[in-house]
Amino acid sequence: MRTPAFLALLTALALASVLVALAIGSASISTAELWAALRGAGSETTRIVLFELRLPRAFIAFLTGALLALAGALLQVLLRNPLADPYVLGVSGGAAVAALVAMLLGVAGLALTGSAFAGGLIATLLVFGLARGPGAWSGTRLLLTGVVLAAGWGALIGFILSLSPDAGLRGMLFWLMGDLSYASDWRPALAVLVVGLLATWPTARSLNVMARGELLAGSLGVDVRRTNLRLFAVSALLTATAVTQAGSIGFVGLVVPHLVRLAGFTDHRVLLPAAALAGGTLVVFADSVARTLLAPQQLPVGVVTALLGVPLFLYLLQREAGRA
Amino acid sequence: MTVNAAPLFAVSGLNVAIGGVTVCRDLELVIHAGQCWAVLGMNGSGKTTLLHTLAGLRSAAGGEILLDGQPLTQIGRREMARRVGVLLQDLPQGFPATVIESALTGRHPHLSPWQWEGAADRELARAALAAVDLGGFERRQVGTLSGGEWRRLGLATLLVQNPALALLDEPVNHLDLHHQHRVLALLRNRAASPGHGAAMVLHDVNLARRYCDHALLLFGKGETRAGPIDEVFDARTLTRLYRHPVNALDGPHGPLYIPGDPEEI
Repeated sequence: MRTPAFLALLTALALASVLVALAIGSASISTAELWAALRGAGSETTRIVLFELRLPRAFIAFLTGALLALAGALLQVLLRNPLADPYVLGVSGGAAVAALVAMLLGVAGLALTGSAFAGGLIATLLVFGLARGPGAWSGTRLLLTGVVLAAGWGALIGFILSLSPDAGLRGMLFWLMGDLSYASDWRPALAVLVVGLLATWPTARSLNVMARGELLAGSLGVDVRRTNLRLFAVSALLTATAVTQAGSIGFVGLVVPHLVRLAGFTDHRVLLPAAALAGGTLVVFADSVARTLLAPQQLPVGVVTALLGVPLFLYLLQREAGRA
Repeated sequence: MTVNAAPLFAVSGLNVAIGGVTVCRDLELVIHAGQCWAVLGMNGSGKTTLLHTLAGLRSAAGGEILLDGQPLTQIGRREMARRVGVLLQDLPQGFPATVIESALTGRHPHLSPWQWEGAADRELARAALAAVDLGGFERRQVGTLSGGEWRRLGLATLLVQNPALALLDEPVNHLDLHHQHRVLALLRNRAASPGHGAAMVLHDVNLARRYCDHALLLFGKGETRAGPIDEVFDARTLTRLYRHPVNALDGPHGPLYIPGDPEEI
């Protein structure tokens, strides 16, 4: 498939996912009502449900997925390791510990969000600070440090959960598995996504070279140190914002860039926007499923992204192995 | 052979050390356009470290390196990458990519940061692939290449980069007999073309003798010897270089060096 056709397909899928998210939910809205509301007609209640409840939630879902997928793609280049992902590195663990402590203290709203954001940033700085050591960052060392720290955050999460009163446990568990019902304002996430894309996409050709090794990139005229720092700063910001929006949604950052690569698009000038579109679409679809599968019971969206993505990824991997 | 007044590459008083081992001390080396240098020494003598230092990928402990009379430290990264290219000893395959995408990375320093590769760049990449006998491999995934094919793709990338001075770390590693000679003939002819030059780390003294006109020997502990290959190559020097007996025979292209058994030393 040619690049423009691929990006057009992803954009169409993204729009379709938002339409689906608008159309389905606990209050049943018919296609005719949806169409009327989209044209500005229809009943007041329908419009409130659509534009003040479902649309902002779809935006938040989309932006969260886009942030995570973009962060994953950037971290994979930074670590030159396809297993890199904001969650594997323990960034979400740090954010979760900070958020759970805030919940335990009875904090909500902006303080909770701020706490999660700070936790995510601290966890990122910790991983990269500890992995730095005497020399340059090595991908393996970073990944191992991240995995160990993630295990440590996991233990702290277990500790906090066991101390928590039963009443708060459900909310905490949902947050840990990704919950889109907390966030209310999608504009900060949009701003961060735009900043992230602007900071990385224009020079994405150098990421193609970086992905093939630092020494080679250096010999081809890439400023390796500056590129590494930028990748680190941007992916930390993207991840912390995503975690703040929706708690821990695993799997998106790891798998979406791979799906794009498996579709044959390895050039980062295509990969970065494509991963953002596909990641957003995946989370919007997953959230629609999470809201309706066992309605009125809602599922954590992270459970659904994993249940959708794992078999898809395994299938593509098998197909790739068969072709080689 | 014509020798320009301003050398392509000039090294003076260069000190290089790594991990407490001295690679070279007060090295003087002048590479003129048209010359093809062999760099030889035992494992761990610092050939790769020296090559990386010459390419500006690591800094020297002392001394000066001039490219066309200009200090290396004053040349910008991209400018440097257009004038000096390196074939690294080990190239990780990294993420999936096609052969032509991989070869096109050689165009990176030639394109402005915002520019996309065009038809002319693809044509250059295709020509470079054909030159290393990878014609028709353009759409193959790099993960499906053999060790020798991957090595030749690295060479093709360097040809696409098209630097004046090519620094090559074991360019014939993993190559079969035919491709060893094909690649070395290509590199020698390229080095002999106006404005170009090459220095390559080799382990086969007979290939070095046949395809290179100058040699730099690293004896370890900082001792080096550089000069025209006729002057620096003889059985005694090579015996000392490799701490292994080497005898010379007359061959069709000049002397042939035959290693003896280890216990003769």
